[in-house]
Amino acid sequence: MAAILEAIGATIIGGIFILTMITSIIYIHAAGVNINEQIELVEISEDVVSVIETYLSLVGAGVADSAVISTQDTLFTFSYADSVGGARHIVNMAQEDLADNKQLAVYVDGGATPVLGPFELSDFGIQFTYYDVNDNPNPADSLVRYVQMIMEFQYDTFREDIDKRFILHRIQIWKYFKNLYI
Amino acid sequence: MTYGQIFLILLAMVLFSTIYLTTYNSLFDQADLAYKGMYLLNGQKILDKYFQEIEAKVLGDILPFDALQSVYNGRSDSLTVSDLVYHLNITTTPCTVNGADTATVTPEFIRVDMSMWALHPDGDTLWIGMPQFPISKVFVDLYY
Repeated sequence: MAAILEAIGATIIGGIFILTMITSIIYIHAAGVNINEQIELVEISEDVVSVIETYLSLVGAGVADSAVISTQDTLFTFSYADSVGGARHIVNMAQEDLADNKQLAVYVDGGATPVLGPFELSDFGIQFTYYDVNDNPNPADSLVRYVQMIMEFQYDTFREDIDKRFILHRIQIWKYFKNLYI
Repeated sequence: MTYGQIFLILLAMVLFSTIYLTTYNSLFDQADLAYKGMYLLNGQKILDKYFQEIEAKVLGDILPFDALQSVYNGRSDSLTVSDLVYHLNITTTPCTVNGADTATVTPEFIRVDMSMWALHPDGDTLWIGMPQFPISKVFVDLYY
């Protein structure tokens, strides 16, 4: 009888110990994957921002007027030309609100397929703030000289039941439209 | 269960705990590096904002080149990004085309040096450019 009780006790204690080990290993694995995803998200979103900055550098290039067409909190529409007086292009930089998330996409000349994106954003999404030459926010479109753009990218987490959070990376950039200063 | 077996089990638990703590500590260090890297990237973008501001104003002749020093030399500013306050210091120095200091009264080139720091919640000070090793750009007087 004593031997049976001893065996049952050892099984229970051993089982608890093994379960603890397995849970700990899974937790460490989840944390490791989350860190890798965070680093990957930073790399990808920084690359995306570089391309966005390239597009923003085009604001007003080669056009005499209507360089800035629409300035909204989550949508920025501007134009540029291939050359001075050349073919004009319209760029839409927009936050798209889908049923379960938000995404960033850049369209040129009203195309149905984005030239950049779509990239998944967090609930924060994008926020554009426009400034005139004297740093006053939200001027008339014709007076806009630079923009502050805040965007927050996100990844789904590794396992929600283990580490319930989203991997986020918020980026804040400013872009001065030098073509409009000339 | 003999004492020997109990001892072996305890030894296994100690070994596992040690490996677990070491691995977790390494992961924590990696996460700390990754997050601080994100703050440093934000800081670089703030510095870039000020460089862009100077470029645009000089290019558009809104800021006369000769006034660049009086406006920006010794300027300090603070900006909050992602709940972290960044403190910026700007200095300007007349220089040659290569960025070497010069004593010319009306210089053709001016070097703008920027350094920035932010106090991380864990108590670490993050530097983006340092006073003795700033991030610099040389600006030219287009109408010299």
